[in-house]
Amino acid sequence: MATTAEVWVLSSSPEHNPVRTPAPPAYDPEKLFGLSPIDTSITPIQSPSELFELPTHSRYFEVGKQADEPRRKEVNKTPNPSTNDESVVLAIDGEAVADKPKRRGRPKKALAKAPEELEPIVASKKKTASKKSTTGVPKKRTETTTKRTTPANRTISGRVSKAGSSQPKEAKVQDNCPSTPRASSAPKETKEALDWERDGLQLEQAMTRRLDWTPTQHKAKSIIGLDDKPGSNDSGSGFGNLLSEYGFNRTATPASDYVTSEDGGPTKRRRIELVDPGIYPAVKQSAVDVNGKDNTGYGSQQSTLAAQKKPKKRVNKFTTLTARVTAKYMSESAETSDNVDEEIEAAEESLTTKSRSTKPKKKGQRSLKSREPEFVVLSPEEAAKTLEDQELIFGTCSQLEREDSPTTIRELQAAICQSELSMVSEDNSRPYQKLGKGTSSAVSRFTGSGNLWSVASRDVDGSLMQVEVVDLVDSPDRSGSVAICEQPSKDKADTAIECNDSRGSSIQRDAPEPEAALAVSEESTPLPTQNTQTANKTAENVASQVSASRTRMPNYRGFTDARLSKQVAKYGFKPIRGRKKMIELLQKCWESQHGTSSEPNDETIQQNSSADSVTEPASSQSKPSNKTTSKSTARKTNANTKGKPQSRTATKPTAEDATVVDTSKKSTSLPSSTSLGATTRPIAGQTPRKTPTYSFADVEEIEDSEDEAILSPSRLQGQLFQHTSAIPKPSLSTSHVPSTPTRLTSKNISTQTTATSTAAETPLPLPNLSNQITAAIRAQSQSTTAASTHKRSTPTWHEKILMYDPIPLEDFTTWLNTEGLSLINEDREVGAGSVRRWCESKGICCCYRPRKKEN
Amino acid sequence: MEDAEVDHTKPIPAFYCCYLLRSTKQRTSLYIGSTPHPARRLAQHNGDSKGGARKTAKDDKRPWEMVLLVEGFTSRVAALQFEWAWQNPKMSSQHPANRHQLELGAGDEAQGTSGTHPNADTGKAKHRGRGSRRSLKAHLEDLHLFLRSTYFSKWPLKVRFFNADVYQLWTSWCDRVDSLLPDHVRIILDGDCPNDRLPCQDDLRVQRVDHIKVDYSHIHDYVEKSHFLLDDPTDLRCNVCRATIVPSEDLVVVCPKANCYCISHLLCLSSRFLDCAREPDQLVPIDGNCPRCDQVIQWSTMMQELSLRSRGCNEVQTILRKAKKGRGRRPGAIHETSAADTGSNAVEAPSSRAAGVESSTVGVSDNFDMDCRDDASLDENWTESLDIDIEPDILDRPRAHNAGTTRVEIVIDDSDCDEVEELG
Repeated sequence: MATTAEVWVLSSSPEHNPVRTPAPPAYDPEKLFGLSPIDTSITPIQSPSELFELPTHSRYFEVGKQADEPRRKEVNKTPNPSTNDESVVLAIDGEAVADKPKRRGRPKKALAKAPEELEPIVASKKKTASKKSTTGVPKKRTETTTKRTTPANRTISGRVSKAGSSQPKEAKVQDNCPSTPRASSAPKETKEALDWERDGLQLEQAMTRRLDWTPTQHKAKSIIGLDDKPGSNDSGSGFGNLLSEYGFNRTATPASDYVTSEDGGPTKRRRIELVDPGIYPAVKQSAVDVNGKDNTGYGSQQSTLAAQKKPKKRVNKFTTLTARVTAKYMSESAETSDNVDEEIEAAEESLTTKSRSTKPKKKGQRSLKSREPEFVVLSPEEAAKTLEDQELIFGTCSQLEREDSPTTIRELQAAICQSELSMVSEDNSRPYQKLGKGTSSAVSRFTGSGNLWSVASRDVDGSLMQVEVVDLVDSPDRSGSVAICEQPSKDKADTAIECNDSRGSSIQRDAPEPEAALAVSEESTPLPTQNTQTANKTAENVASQVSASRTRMPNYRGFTDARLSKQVAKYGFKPIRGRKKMIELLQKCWESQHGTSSEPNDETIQQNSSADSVTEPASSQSKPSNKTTSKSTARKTNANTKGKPQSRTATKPTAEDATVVDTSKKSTSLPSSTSLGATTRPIAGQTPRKTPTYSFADVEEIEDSEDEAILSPSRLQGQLFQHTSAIPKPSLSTSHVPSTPTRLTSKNISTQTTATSTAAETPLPLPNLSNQITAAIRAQSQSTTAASTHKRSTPTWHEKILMYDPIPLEDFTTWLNTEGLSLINEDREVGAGSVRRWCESKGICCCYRPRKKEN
Repeated sequence: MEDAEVDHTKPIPAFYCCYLLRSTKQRTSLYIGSTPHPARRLAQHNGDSKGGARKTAKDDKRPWEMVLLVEGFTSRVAALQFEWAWQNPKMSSQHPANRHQLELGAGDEAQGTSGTHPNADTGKAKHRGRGSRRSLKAHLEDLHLFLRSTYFSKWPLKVRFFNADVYQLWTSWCDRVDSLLPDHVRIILDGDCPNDRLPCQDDLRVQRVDHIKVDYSHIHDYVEKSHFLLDDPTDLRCNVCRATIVPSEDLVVVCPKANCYCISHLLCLSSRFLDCAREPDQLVPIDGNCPRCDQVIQWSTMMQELSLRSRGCNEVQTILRKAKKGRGRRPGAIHETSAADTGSNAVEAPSSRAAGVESSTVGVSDNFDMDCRDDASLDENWTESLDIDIEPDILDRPRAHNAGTTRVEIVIDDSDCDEVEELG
């Protein structure tokens, strides 16, 4: 006993566990834990093919490990090598003892198993120390003789503790014959299944096994062959929940449906999964193994397990496009795998076959290895079937997801809106500028609010695309009428833009000379008539929201503390105590963000709110009110199917809208106001042209020309007019503004326009910059000499150059950019590098300022 | 503007040159350096005084000889740039080969920050083979090439040969090269060179390095003349634009010719010169005919005097004072400064008056004095300190060239200055 006990310890040690036991247990934890979530999220991971493949690897490993085990055992045994037989007997006893303490119910089984096993074990001992050769024979015997009993052993082996316990006997007995343990392991697995039912999943052990990751994989591989069927049998009960919780509700549920309809499906899935062999191979295999064993003995377990497997697979399949696409090309391999599967199945049906399957782990599996990788569940026909059944959705993953869960969409939209809040605010300020001819607003816009978003939202041509973006965000929501109210932020943005557009449009039509107040009033008055009840509600909501969010600056005081804190958090500040401080901070932030003075804001806000109210109802109206529901629906569907109306060119949806709007205009007897509202969207592009100002938004919208084409011809003409007149200016402004910030800042709009216009004329034949530098230098000397203010002590650059002074490039460049080039009306800037080249071309000694501050 | 003025407080140095040093024992050992005081520097290299470059410290190569001087640099920065370019022709942006590549990358560079440029150069140079040209001939070729480059060709440089064999090599190369040096680059044959061009060599031959005048003595008369000329309270008019000149306000140039009293605005004269030279695109003329005496006058000379007059007030005053006190006075104070000691042998002025001037300059003028002291203060660990000082400044330049040079005889290591402006 003492010897046995020693042996037992060694065998039970963690090293052994991974080798033998892990296969079944490892499968369990992963399936239960990781697989369901992982599979759902990652999707295609579990491929049946992988399962097969891995087993082959595992087999190799197992063999090797087995070999190792016996060695260890031998080492341990060496002290008492003579008493092999005794050791066997002892081992059995010891096993029972060992099992008892560790596992409650087992001892009986173990005992029962023990005697049976003894025979084969002994035989194995006799045979030889060489495991491989002997292993195959003893296993068969043991299994065939004691199939039912063996399961108990298996369960033991499967668990870490048990494996240890079971192994000890084996170790003692088996030193020479590693095969015996295997045989025992097979029965153990069956036992394990029972144990699971009883004891639950025993996750703790699973976790421990997890730590021994690689070893577990190997074992799983050994078991693999049997798995295929169990997988098909499985109907995922627990998995469904996991999936749903995970957020893939739709995918999960349909998957389950499919499962019922397509039993063959699982195989197909496996194919697909083949594509991603690397991810979760071990787990699947292990799971398969368990199932396969279970098949013969325990149908109930199989069913449950199979259920689990199935849902996973399906989800995986359908989730990723790559998997689907690649699956087609995997068909060949799948066929081959199918054949293999059939063979395996047949083997499983007969007990003898079982023995084979068990054997393969140790010996026979090697031969199987070559086949196993090819195992594929589904026949090609079935695969094709399943493919047909499935609805294929092409698009980016993001699109798919978006459609799946409305909540995610909303969140996404909200995030977008938030990020673009600044843009919106700019837009808000814009109308005011146009209408009221705000003095410094335009400038502030460039300088103050020129943030990354404004830059990022720019087209290749430098035009803004925000309008379309907004549409994108809205489209899903609008399809659902309720959405508007729910999503304030989004609406905000939308309304803001729309209001601008609408206003601009209204201005264009109604008041050729933009007078803001008039235009607004005109628009606002018709409102009530237009609005349906819902429209009114929405309008009100919008208005309130707008007033709150937009007018942050003035309204901060009216905020509740919570709201204030929220706003503060929005700006990225830590929560601040004190209402006043918060308000101040928010105001500052707002100012810095929008750069416009506070007064205009109020006006703009009001205007905006009114405009919003107008536009919003209009937009909401347009859809419901449109007779052509089919069109509207079509539009919705478009939006949905496309996922997102492409941000830049919202061409199609907008175009449809435009048409719809037109129809609605005529058909619906609503007053002109409705037409206004309805047209707001398509018109959006027009506003900028109308007011040929400096804001980028104008530029952006010009791009939308497509929309205009749809509009009524009469309008078109007018717009075209405006286009022609306005187009050059915005482009100029965009190009030149950044380079000439200094000028713009100090001057009002009129000067701006002049400046831009002058700049506009120059660009075509741009004089060489180097020549410009020369000219600037000469200009400086002339101006200074004329002023006669300069003294010898402060020579001009020209004089410095003439006197061979080394020209510090930094200073010179700075001067050029700040003063020099402006002397000759050159708006471009020069870099130190180009200045240096200029100097060198002139033979002017130039240098970068020495870093050392030495004289 | 004010920062820039910091640099402008110094007048154009009286003398600054790049030199090619050759070992008299191992004739393949070469060294390129720059100095405002070649004689003193040569003494350092030869170990007669402290401060010689480490590369030149080996006894088996001493004594060294200066076989070639490139002089006429209008500022220390200019000299250093030229020196660096000459030392590292493959990395210099002035090298045509590099220039070619430079243009390609110029687009990015032009808009980039100033500091990136040298990096680009070095990066380019890294993969180009280095050390292939180490011979005297190679250096002469490089010199020829740089003197033709757009940047340096506009500078009022002169090349002075002290050794006939070097000059012969030079001429042979000049014959082979397709392009000619710019006209204004004067070749001065000195030392044992065949004096075939005697007639045009007016005052330029000094025979020995020691005799090179490294102070303002050569423009002393010029300074004195201009001083008195501009001191005249009577109506001063620009000879170009005929406008009134206010000496205290305007930058006025005076004809260097002793008997010519032409004064003119700086800008006026420069534009006139450029017009005459038909180079309206340029900003700095090389030379021109005085509007009054119609003699060819060097712009650099006038600028030297102008800068000295406008910035080196102390020097000018001392010069004037010395001049007033008469030329018979002994230059007792010559060696007040320790700096002067090292170069004492070099400063033996041909005339006592010049010596007096020199002494005064050394003693009084801050700027010139500084230059001297820079060199004089060098001690044993000069090289170390130099390394420390220079490395950061030259960070942009490939440091590897030091390593590369170690194995070769040609020592291209230090310059006379501890502060090196980047920009090749």
